[in-house]
Amino acid sequence: MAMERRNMLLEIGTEELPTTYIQPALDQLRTWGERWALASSITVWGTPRRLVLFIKDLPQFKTETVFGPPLQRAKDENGNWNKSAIGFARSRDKTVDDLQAGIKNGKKYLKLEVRLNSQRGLRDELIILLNSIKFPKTMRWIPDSAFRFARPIRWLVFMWGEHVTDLQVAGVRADRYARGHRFFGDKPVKLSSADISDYQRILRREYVIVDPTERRKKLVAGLLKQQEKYRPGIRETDLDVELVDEVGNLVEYPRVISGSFDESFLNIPSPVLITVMKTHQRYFPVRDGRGRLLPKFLVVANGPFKKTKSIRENNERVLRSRLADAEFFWEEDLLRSLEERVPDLEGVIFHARLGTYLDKVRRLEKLATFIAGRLGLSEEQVKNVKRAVLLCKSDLTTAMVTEFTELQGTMGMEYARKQGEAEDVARAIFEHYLPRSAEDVLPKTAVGQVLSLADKLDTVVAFLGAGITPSGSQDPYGLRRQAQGVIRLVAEKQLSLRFNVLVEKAVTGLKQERSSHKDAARQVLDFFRNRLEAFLETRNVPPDVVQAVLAAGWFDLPDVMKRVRMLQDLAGTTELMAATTIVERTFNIVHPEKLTGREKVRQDLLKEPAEKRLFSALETSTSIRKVIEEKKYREATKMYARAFSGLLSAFFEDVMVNVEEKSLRKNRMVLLSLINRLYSERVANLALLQFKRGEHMV
Amino acid sequence: MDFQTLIITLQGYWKDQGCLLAQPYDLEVGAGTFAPPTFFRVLGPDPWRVGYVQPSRRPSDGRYGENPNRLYQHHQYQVIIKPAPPEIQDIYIKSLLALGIDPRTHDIRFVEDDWESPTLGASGLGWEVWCDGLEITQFTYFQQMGGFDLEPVPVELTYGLERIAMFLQKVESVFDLEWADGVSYGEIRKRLEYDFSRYSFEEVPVDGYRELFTRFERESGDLLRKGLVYPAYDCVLKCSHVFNLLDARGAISVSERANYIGRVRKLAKACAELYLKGEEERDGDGTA
Repeated sequence: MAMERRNMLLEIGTEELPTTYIQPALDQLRTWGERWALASSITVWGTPRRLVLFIKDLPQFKTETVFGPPLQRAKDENGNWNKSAIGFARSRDKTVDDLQAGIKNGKKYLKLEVRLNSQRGLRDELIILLNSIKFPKTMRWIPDSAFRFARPIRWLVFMWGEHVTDLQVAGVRADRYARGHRFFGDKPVKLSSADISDYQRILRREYVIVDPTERRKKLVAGLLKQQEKYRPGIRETDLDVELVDEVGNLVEYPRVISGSFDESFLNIPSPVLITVMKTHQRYFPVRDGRGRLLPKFLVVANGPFKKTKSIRENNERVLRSRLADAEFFWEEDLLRSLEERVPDLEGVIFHARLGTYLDKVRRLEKLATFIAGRLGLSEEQVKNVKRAVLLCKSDLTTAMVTEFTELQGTMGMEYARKQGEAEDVARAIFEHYLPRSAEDVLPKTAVGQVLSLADKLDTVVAFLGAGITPSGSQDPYGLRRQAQGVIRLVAEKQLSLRFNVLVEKAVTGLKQERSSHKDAARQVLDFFRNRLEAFLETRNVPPDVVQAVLAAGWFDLPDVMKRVRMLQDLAGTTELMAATTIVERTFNIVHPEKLTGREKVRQDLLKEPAEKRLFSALETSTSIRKVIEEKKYREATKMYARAFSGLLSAFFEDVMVNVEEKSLRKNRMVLLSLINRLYSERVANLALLQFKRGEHMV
Repeated sequence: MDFQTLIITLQGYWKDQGCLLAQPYDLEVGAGTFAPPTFFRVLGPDPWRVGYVQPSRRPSDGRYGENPNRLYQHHQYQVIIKPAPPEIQDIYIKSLLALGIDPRTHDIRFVEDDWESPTLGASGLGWEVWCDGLEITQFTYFQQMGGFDLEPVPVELTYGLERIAMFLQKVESVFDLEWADGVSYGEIRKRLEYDFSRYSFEEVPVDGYRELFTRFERESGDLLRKGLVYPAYDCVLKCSHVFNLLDARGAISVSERANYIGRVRKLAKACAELYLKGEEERDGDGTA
């Protein structure tokens, strides 16, 4: 029988979806589709008003194995099929002759090969899928129904080849009509079959560009064309990707319109102008060839508008009133200096259980000064650190930041500059929020780095100590991000700071201020270690290397990075292999719990020449210690391997460790453990590496 | 289109949609949502269609009549339809057409905006409706009111009348709006804006108002115990307005804020509960 194949088209028509919901929903549709077909035959498209899934050449039927009752409970004492076996066959429209034995989870069961009607099976599953697509927020809208979706579903197209498949979800019955643009589309157009290019073409005619890639292309082309005259040679990479993506999902048919505003508004700091345009109006700012902001903007309208004059003028009027507000805030805020605003921070809550920002500033002063001291900052820099700490949160009390919260730090910097603060201080006020994400830049100035570290450490310690910990995907205060920021900063800028010292200092600061605060040092250190593991993993360090290195100490991050690099550099070399063998053999035989770590080798108990030689090698290993001290880990590894490899082999050839006599046995264990610890406690516990021996042996 | 014609047009449009035309509520409220035709009537199963103008007081938004866009008191046109009809977006768009806003010459957009009122224990999902970049309406499918899940789900449309009028008349300052032929918005409202701004920011007697809050709070509780839900709710509105005034006056510290809001919410929830109970009893009597 020739396998019949048909195309399937599903369009979920909705009221306007939030822009950020569209792509994740399409990803879920695709994943679902991949259960029925190869990835290459699946297309997912979407606009604010529709989610589309197309599957090419779906077989009409698909064979699936279904399991029934266990084989041993399927026959009666005479060896005939019993009730449950017959019932199983019947439930699938089969007879007992079709029953087979199959193995599931290592046990025998009855099984049937069933030919499923994909059309019906898919439809049934689709209903489940539509009930379970995940969105950040969902709503109810249908009377007497608990059905939830991101926004109301208003129509469905569900076609299988030339036919509409009966599908009813969310009070809507599927049909074959493609709906065009909300305002520019004509009447719904009848689709004759589930043909993706037909569908795309019809929608295009009805002013909907359903393929997001195509829509984006059109949008980008429009944006570039409008800017070409101000910035010749402008390219796609010059555009704000985030905004392009967002706006691309705000419209079904992008039409770029350019507008302008009064040049006098350019006196407002450009971050403010950009925020007003971008975040609040979704306008694209326009720059000239030298990157300077021009009194222009681009708005993306939704539809094939012929006349754009009034749209432009109206948008200009909206922007004008927003910029007038911003200008007012800017001038008003400058009437009071950041320093004068410090006491106002008593009215700004950091967190209900953690006091105000004034409390935080006071804590930061101690912590930041401490860090600055540790890093050996100059007297001038320390002075700037203190000044920046004092002012760093003051912009939270300004009208501008109250209105545009995303400008915190940025406004602090702008106001500080305007008020004649040192440039280092102004920069630090901005930089202390960096990095704001895993990809964000790090603070460049030493003062900014100190402040950033202090602020983040304090936040993490404060929240964990108050019992507020992230769990699963819940991290409302971004504590993981902040901890990660601290780690990146210390690791990448190679700051010689030890985590235990930093955490202890931060904990002490909080304890002094808030007596109820838990001493969370242990917990905070675990939290940071955890984030450090995650950080190293993002740097593609294999988990076993991470564990080996961290086991030998992790408080000094630049040092951790050095040891990681060494292990990666020496991977597969005979030196590292030899060192690993030494650490492993000395690790395996010694049971650490029996040793306190303070034991010394008793020379009088050394009997065999091989153990005497091994001991004397240990005694003369000061040069290895010195090289480790100097953090020359490559060198140390080679020396370690050279010093002990042969001697240890000889030792195991000639000497029994597990001898009857207790004192002898213990003495040998002590000897081996000292050799082990010489390396594994300072460089890396190579016994935790998981590579297979054979891979590295040539 | 002058300001009063705008109102009349919306009234006419929504009357034709089968809405009952209610009158503005006669207490100080921050939004049309607070008025009883919304707060109470979205609760429970009975269908409801209403439209009304609601003068809305927001003391902290007062600018002494100096800011062209911000007002101590603005006007909303509030529409509630329960259950929300499936074609409600189209019905709404047609109301814009009635105002002369043609979506084929203006860029109308539904931009995600989920709404929440911690004071009323209310939340909903929906959009800001943008017209050429200007927010002209809040469009919300209510999900909760007074802490109760709403069934069926009502839709709330809140038109910002001043903004729409400024858009239609192409003026840059609200005070330049034409209220009626030859009469400006400024003539009618400017002095009031100045007076109330001064009052809110400078003259509100803090101690007396704190006491007022507590008295209305207590009174609301007493009335609830007596089963007088509407007067009890009026006291909630009083509390809410007193709180807004104290807030504008700068008399409420950050830590007190959540506490005050929580107290209003508690009463609002109790009112919703009592209202629903009364409705159930009424229905029970009807069928007995």
